[in-house]
Amino acid sequence: MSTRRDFLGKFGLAGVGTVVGAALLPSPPDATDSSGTVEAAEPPAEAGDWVDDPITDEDETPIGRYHYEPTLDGYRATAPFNVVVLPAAEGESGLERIMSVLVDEGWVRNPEEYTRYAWDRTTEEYVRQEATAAQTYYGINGRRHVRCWSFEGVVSMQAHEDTPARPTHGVTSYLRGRETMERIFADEGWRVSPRAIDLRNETEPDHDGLATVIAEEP
Amino acid sequence: MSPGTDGRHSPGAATSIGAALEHPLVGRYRRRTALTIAYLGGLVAMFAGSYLGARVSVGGDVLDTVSTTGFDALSMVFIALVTLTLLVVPVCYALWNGGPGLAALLPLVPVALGDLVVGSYVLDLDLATGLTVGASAAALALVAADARRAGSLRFWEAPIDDDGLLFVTAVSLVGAFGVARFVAAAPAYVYEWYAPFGALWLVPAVVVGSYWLRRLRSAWRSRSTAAALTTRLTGR
Repeated sequence: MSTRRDFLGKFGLAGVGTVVGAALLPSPPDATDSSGTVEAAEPPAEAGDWVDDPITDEDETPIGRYHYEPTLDGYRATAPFNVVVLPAAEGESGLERIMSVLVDEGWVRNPEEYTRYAWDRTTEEYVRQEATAAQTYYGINGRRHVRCWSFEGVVSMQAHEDTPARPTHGVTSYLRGRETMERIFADEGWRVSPRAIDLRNETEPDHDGLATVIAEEP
Repeated sequence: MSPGTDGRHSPGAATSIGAALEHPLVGRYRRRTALTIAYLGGLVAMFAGSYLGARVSVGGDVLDTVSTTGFDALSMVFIALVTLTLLVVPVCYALWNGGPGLAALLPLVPVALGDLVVGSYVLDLDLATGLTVGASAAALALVAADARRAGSLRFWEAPIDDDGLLFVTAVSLVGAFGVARFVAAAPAYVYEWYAPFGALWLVPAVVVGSYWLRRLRSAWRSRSTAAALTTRLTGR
């Protein structure tokens, strides 16, 4: 044990350290309240052709039905697209608009994740994920996570909730991923039409095969 | 540099690194501390591999498209290792080598790395978890180091190390402050994900509380002994 004067000096130092440490900590995210329902809008005119009949072929429209992982003999579908976003801008700037909304929610871009691909009917190639974001970089205790591709001005988004990493991630819900996107973008004033497009891509544990349409222009 | 200068400088550097490794806040046994730092080095290397695989392009192709299976496997192993580093390694380190500083730092290193490269400065669930486990591991390290000094499980028989106690107190207060803000702002489902870890706060609360009680009691006792001595010597 130290002398009284020594101790008081150290005590003061620890006090200053505590205050500085607490001040340096970042703030928690300003996340959208996820309770309550979204006011459903009619799908925008742009989506008119896609809402009437189910989409069963990825060459039919710019919208993807699944994202894929490469295997030894081609590609294997891993998760169903469940959100279709129509940003005001095309291509990369459209993706940037979407990402900026998520970053404002406290999400991180390009988190630690697997690499997935989607089918681009114009180039007839599988394309690597173009924009991704998640609530946390690792999702050690669970996170919500999205991957996006922009084809012909239309963004196909796969939204899901990851299980806690014990030790690896699984998917606990596609539905909660989709609903999170509905609420976040509705809160930003985007036009949200829940479950407007039938992609016939029902998947365990809880995806009903329908995609929500979210349009930037009201 | 002449060999003479070399000869004068390197032992000095080695000594200061050695002294840092042997600082009681870092760890009790130099070898174990060095091993843990090497483990962190390995983790950083894996992080760099996984990060660069997703960012660096070679001939127009992102590196991870060249071998997606390989980089996916790296991601999988890396996430598993980060999970261990956040949830298990700090506690094991605390019991094994008793350094509250390194025990508190271990879960924060991977989280800080990730947030640094994506430019995120947000108190998210990963960070809240790291702060919780870090504070608990630091408190355990204080007890474990005292048990080793006492040579038995009666850790309270070792005199209190003021530096360690002040450090663990500061780390616990900073962590608790951050986590309290996180919990207050978290949506219900995120709070549910965090909740099981809330119980871990009992560890720093009990350790820091009981150590301060002991510390104050011994300060009080030495003060009254001194007062009694003064009275006897001066007759006043």
